[in-house]
Amino acid sequence: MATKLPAIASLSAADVLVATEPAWLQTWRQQSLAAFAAHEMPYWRRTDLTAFAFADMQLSADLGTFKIGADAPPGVIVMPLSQAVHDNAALVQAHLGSAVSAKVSKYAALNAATWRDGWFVYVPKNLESTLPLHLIQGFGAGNTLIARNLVILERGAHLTLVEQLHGDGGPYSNVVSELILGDGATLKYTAMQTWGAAVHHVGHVVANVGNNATIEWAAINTGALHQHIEAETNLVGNGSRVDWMAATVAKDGQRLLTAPWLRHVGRSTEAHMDFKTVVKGTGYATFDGMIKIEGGSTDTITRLEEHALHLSPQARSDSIPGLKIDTNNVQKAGHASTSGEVDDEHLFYMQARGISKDEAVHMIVMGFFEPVLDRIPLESLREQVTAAIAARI
Amino acid sequence: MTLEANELEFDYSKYGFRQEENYVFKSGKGLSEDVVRELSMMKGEPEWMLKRRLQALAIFYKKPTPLDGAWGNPDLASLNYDDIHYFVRAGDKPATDWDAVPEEIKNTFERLGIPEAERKFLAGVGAQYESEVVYHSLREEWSKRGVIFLDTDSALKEQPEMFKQYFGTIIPSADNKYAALNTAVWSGGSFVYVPKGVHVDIPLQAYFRINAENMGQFERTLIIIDEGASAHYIEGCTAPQYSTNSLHSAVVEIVVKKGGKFRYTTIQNWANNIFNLVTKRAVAHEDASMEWVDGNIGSKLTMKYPSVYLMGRGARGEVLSVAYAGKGQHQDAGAKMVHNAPDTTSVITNKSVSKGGGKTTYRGLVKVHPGATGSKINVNCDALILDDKSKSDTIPYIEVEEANVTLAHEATVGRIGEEQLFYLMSRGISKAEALSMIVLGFMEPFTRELPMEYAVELNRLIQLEMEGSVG
Repeated sequence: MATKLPAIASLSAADVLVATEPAWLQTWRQQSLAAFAAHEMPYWRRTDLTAFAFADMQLSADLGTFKIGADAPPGVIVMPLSQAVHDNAALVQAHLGSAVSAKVSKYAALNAATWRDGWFVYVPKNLESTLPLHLIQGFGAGNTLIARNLVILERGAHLTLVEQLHGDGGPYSNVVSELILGDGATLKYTAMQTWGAAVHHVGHVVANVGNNATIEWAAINTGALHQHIEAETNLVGNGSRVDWMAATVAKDGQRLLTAPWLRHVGRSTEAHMDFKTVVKGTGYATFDGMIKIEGGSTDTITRLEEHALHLSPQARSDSIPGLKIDTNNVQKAGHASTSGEVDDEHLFYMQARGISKDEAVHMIVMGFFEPVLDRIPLESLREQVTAAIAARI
Repeated sequence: MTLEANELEFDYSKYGFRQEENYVFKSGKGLSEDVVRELSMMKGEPEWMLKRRLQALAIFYKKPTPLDGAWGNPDLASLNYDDIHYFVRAGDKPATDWDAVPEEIKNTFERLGIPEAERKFLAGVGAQYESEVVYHSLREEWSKRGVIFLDTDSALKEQPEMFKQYFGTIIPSADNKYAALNTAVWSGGSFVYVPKGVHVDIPLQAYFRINAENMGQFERTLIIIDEGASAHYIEGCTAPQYSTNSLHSAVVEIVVKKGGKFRYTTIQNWANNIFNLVTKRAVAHEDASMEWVDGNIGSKLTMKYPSVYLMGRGARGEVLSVAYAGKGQHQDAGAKMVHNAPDTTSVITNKSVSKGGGKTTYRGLVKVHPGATGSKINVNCDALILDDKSKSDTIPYIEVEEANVTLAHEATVGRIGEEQLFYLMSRGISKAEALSMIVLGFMEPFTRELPMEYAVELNRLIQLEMEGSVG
C-alpha cells in the first residue's frame, strides 16, 4: 500500500512507469510524460481552470472500478486495457494514441503518461454484433481517476456500445476514449457522463472513421460539477458518416462544457449534429463546437443544429457553432442555433388541457430530449436516465 | 465546369488612383513618445488630450499583438509598426469652400466618379485627404437647426466640452491594442452632433483616402444623436495600390440617445496591401435604433466587428454587412451585439464571397446579460466560396444569461451551383456575366440598403472585374 501518493504537479518517470509493462509502452509513457511537462497550461476561456489545478491532484492508490453491465456480446473481445497490453499487444501498440495523442493537450498527455486501466474492446472483421455492450467506470475513495479506453472495429464490424461514467467519488477524473472504425464498420455509441455532483471531469473522446464507415453517437451529460469534454469525429474515409446527438442538463452550480470537433477529410462525407441543452437554476452549459471541412474533402454534406432551453433566469448557456471551410466543393454546409425558454404558447396549450405548469414544462423538456434518449440501446438504462433527468427538472 | 483563378480579381491599377505626394508636414516612420508630443503640439491641442494620447501609447506598447485567442488573427504577424508614418498633414488648414480644395484632390474625386451634381448637392461633404479633413461644408439650414458636422480636430477646438464629455467613453483606450494606437495618434475623422428632435434626411458623407506610401491613417469619429433625432452618415474608402504594408486603424464612437435613429454606412475598398483594423461601437439608449451597414471589399486584412450596446429598454441594433475577399486578402469581419436592457432587439446579416485564394471570416458575439428579458436576436450568415483555393470561416460566439430570450442563428456555406450557371449560360449569357449576376444577386440584400450612387458604384466595380476575365 502506497503511503505517500505522487503529486501530479511533480511527476517523475518512477511515478508513471509500470515495471511489468512491455518496453514499448514504457517508452510511450515516458514520451507522454515529457509532453506533459512541455505543454503550456491550456487556454480555456469557458472552463474554470482552477477547478482542474494540478497542485490539488495526486495519483490515486485506488485505480477505479470497471464493470460490465451485462455479458459481453459473443465474439467481441472485452478486457481491461492493462491486460490487453499483454494479451493483444500488437493491436494495442498499433492503435494506442492514434486518435488521442499526447500532443493534443496537457490533460491528454497526463492521461497518456499515467493511465492505469480502462477498457479494451475489439470487434473482429465482419462480426455484426447486435447485443449492446454496457461498460461502466467508477471510482471510490481515490481522488483521481485516470482511465483510458480503446475500441477497435475491424472492417465491416458492427458494435453497439454504451460507455458510462457513473457514481460518487473524485473529485478528479480524466478519461480518454479512442474509437477506431475500420472500413465499412458501424458503431452505435452512447457516452454517458452521470458522475456524482462533486466530480471535476476532463474527457477526450475521438473517433477515427474509415471508408464508408458510420458512427451514431449519442452523448448524455447530466453529472459532475465541472465538465470539460473535447470530443472529435474525424471523417477520414471516403463516404464516412456521423450522426451525432447530445443531451446536456446543467443545474445549480454545474458548469458543463462540450467542445465537439467534426472534421471532414474524405470525399463524400456526411454529418448531422443535433445538440440539445437545458440549463436550470445557476447551471451553465457551453457548446464550443467546430466543423472543419479540409481542402481535399469534396461533396461534403454537413449540418449542425444546436438548441438551448433556459428554465430559469439565472442559468447561462454559451454557444459557439463554428465553421471552417477550406474548399468550395461543398454540397451543403450550415448550422443553426437557438436559445430561449419554453414556448409560452405550448405551455398555455397544455395548461388549457388541465396539465399543471410544472408538468407541462416537464413534458416539453422530455420531448426536447427524446430523440437523444431514444438512442440509448438498453431499455433499463434508458428508463433510469429518463427518470434521472426528469428528477432534475 | 470549373471556375478559373483570378476571374473576379480586382486590379487596383485600373483605377489609377495614385497621386503625387505633396505634404506640408510628414513625421518620420515609426512611433515614439516624441512623435505623439510633436503631433499634439502641431495641432495645438489642450493638455488633457496630450495626456490621453500618452496614456494610450503606454497601453499600446503594453498590449501584445492579438495573434491568437477569440479575437486574434495570426495574419497580424506581418504588420511592422516601425514602418509606418503616424502623422501626415496635407494642407495648412481645413478648406471651407470648394475653390480652396487642391486641384489634385479634385482629380481624385473625379477618378472616384463622384458626380458633379452630388458634390454640389450633397449637404456635408467631408473629404479626408491624408490625415486631415481638407474640405468641409455643411448646408446652411442644418447649421441653423444646430447640427454640428466638423472634422474631429476642429471639433476639439470648437466644441471642447461636448468633445471631452464623450471622447473615449464608448471605446476606452484599453479596449484593444488598435483602439489604444488610434487614441495615441488619431488625426482627422468626423464629429457629428444632431440636436434633440432634428431629422437630417440627406446623408452626411466623408471620403477617406490614403495616398502616401507606408502611411498610417488613424481617423477618429465621434457621433452624438440626441433624443428623438435621426441621421445617416456615410463613409467610403478607396486607395491606390502600394508595394509595402500600410495600416489603417480608425475608431468610431457613437451615442444614440432615447428614441434616436442612426445609420452608419461604410464601403471599404482599401488597396490590398493595407491592414484595416477598425473599432466601431455604438451605444443605443431607450427605444433608440442603431444600424451599421458595412461593406468590406479591399485591404490585405480587415478586422472589424461593428458593435451595438443596447442599454435602454426597447433599443434596437442591426448590422448588415458584406465581405469580398480576393487573392491574398482576408476579410475578418462580423458584429457584436450586447443586450443590457429588456425588450431589446438585434439583427445581424452577413454575406461573404471568397475567391482566388481569398479568405472570409465571420466572427460575431451575441451577449445577453441577466435582466435583458424579452430580448430578440436573429443572426444570419451566408458564405459563397467561388473556387477550391478559397476559404470561409464562421465563428459566432453566443452567450445567454437570461431565460426569456428568443435567439436564432443560421449559417450556410456553399458554392455557385453549376445548374445556376448552366441555366444562365444556356440563355446566351456569358460565363463572366452569369457569375457577376449570381454574385450581385447574392449581395443584393446589402446593396439595396445603400444610397443609389453607392450601389451603382459597387455593382460597377464587380462587373468591371468580371469583364474580359473569362476566356
